[in-house]
Amino acid sequence: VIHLDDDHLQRLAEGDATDPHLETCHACRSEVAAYRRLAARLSNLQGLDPPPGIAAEVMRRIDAASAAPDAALALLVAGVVSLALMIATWPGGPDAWRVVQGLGLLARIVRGTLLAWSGVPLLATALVVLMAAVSIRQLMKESRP
Amino acid sequence: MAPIARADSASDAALAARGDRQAFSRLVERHQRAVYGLAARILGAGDDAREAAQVAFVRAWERRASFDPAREFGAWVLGIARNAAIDRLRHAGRLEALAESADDAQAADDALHDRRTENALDEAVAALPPIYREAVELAYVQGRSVAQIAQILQAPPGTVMARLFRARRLLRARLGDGA
Repeated sequence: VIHLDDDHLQRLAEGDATDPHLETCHACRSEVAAYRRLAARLSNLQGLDPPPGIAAEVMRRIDAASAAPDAALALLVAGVVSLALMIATWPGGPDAWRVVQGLGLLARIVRGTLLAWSGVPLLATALVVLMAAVSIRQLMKESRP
Repeated sequence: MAPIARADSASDAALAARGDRQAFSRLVERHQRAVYGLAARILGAGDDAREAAQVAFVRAWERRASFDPAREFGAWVLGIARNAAIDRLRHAGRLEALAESADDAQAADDALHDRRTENALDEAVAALPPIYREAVELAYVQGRSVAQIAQILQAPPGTVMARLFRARRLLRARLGDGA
């Protein structure tokens, strides 16, 4: 007796096909019945429960990622404005005190940017802009004759 | 096969694609079980699967503009989750575990041989190579059709069917004739 191949037996078990061979072959009927029992058991297989906090963590990461461009923009604006002002108020060539002031300004901008990336984006962005404005004002005052 | 809970994912997916975070948050709540379930079936339950699920949702948000509203959000995010889980397998140097080879099947046989418990079916599924586990998870736990699984796995339907055939054959061999 030539029996049905396994893929065909599975199709028969799934109800996707019919075959007259089953009417006369006990062995193949038993195989189909066994695959049907397996399918029934698999249908009762339980899903794996997710641990708590996945949704909250996903939204936290999304919020943090969207804050990064804000901080980068604040850095860019503050940097460009302060650089422009330093150039504009540089009357007589390099001056050691202004170089120190410029470095201080840059340090404060970098610190504000790091704060922005550590989870307080709006506050840090505002801080960066404020510090840049204060530094610029100071430089303007000092550059007056 | 279990029915698929789709609720009102379509409208939330359309809103999320336009940048609505509240809608996306609802989608995460609704689909986290399926996404984590697939990741856990590939990687094993635990921190790796949790991280893969989280990465998948973040990637889905980042790619929201490319989401086709004609598609089902659940299938789309499951495809991303599957890739995220495979990335983690690759990162851990376990990618060869995905390979469809006789060695894997033999290893799974060996692993199972000594640990028959009352929860034999769970054990038998857990001992399958990952490509069969994910097919079983999607077909039987999540109730997806072969066409949907093919879309999620980005594989031809014939390949999906072949994996399900092989998975069932292996499971029967391990569970015995009572299946």
